[in-house]
Amino acid sequence: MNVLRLITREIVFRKLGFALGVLSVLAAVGTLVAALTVLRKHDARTEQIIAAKEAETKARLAQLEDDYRKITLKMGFNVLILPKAQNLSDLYADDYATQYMPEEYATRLAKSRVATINHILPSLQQKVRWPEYDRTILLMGVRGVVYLHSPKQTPLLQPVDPGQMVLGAELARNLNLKVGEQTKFFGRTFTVSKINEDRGNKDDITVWIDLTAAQEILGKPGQINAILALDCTCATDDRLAHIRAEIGKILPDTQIIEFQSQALARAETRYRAEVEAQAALAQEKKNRARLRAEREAFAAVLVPVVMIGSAVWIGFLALANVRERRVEIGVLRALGLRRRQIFTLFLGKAMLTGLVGAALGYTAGVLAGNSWKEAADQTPLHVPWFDLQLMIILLVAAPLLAALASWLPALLAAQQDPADILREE
Amino acid sequence: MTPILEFQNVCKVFTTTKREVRAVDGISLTLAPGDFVAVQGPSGCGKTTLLLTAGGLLQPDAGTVTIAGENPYRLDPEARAQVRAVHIGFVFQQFHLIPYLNVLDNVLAPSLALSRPNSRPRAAELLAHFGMTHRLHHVPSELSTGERQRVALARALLHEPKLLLADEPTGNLDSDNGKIVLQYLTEFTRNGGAVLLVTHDADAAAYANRSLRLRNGKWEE
Repeated sequence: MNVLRLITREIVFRKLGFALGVLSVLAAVGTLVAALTVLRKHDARTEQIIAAKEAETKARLAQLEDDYRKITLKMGFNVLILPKAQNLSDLYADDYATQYMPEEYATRLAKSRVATINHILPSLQQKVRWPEYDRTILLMGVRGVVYLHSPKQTPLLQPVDPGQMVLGAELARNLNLKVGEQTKFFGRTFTVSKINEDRGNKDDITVWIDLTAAQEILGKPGQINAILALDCTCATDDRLAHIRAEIGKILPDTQIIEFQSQALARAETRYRAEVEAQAALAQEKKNRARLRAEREAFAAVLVPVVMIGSAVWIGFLALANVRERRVEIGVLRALGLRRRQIFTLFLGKAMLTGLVGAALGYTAGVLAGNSWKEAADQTPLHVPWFDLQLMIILLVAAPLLAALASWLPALLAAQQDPADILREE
Repeated sequence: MTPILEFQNVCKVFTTTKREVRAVDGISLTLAPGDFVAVQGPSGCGKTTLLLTAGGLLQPDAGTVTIAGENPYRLDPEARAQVRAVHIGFVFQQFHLIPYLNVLDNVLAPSLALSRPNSRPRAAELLAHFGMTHRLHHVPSELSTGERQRVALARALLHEPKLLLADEPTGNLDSDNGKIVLQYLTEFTRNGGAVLLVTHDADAAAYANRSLRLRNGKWEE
């Protein structure tokens, strides 16, 4: 015979009281575990949603890239026609061509009415020192667009009229030049007709003037060093090769490179799409975090309320048990049992109640948490059943809390006076 | 021979809001091994108070109580419980068996107090002696009143106490079962134990070798 046997026999005898106690612990532990399961499920769902959104974004960007590629097959793009002798390394290093070709090439190209090109823009570029300001600039002489197919077509670039100049933003700012002001350039008087906005490239330190004036200033009459062919169209996949072949027949001593066209536009599009996707993703994360915080706050109120309710209930049940077993306490004390043994008897029962309640509550909590859905049409998402750490914590904490809740009734039982009880009986 | 129980001028007073009741008033009594003392008297004369005081459960207001040479009321409550466990066996009119324990476990209940590991054979032996072997695994509600009192008697004897305190042990029994219980008590005294029987039944008191009458907390001449 030992105290545990006494406890278990009494539990079997008074099943209802024990069941009510277990139910109370089950409710407290179950609520806690369900809340944790829901939060874990929320986190898992968030990860799932974010991963899906990321995958979707990636797929959409890939689709966009492909769509853009297909669309731009039929859209115009730009090529730069350079003298054949031009070393491309020098071009990329200096940002302008250092070799020259006759201006007449532009006219020849225009007259050929080559089908793959819509507009051409001959130019003469060179890095020079602006003597009046002692400043290095990029001089760009432009003739304006040569329209190939119809003079009614909208010009892609406005030509600069003789006696006028267009300035890059940085240059105008540094030289304190404004639109309408006159300035000297290589001893000639020019009126500032326009100041471009900041572009963040070499255009910001460029001076655009009429081609003829530029040829005269640079001592290159009738010479240009680049023809920009704009808005080229070609239905084949390898458009550049097609255009090279076509132009090569007309201007054999030239070379053609693709120039800042759809590659840039595609990159820009992709960048913007990416920025938007990232923003949408960040918003989704924010929404999920807010939802989690709301659920956490709800659990932070619900769980303590249920736990306190459960503790009060267990204390009440223990007190009822003490009253019910008053004679038994008196008899056991008369038989020689010590006060602390009586105390252990009641506390042990409370701990056993906590242990069984915690085990059942854990199971019920995981079941309830797992069966909870954020939305009716959601696919089921299950968090792992077995969390050893949480289980151990609960199997230790619940009996201790149940013992704490039963402490006073157990103390009351231990302090019962057996003589009083037996006299009354 | 050292007395098993000795009362010297023991008084116990209960104070209510209206009056003071001297339940035991200057009682002296000695029980040696082999003594079977019956205390008779009307209800409320102080019989149960006397019994509880003798059992180390109710501290007297005056006088001394000695159990097996030791005054239990000079000990702390835990040590006093130990004295009860070792020296005293209780038998009650209501039996007071623990309802959820079977017969064997009920008899073994006092072993919780002494932590004696091998009480089972002794319990089985006692139950066999009282003719209860066929009822070992029955709970009290499945027993007759006579059987319940025999189980209670076996429980009281588990640790071979020197003193049995019996409070109306035959009060709820028919005459046949009453006789059986009283014969067991007599047998206990023949084996060197002492019995203090509290009863208002003259037939039960007749089994004692000394009979005393209590009235208003005092021995009646």
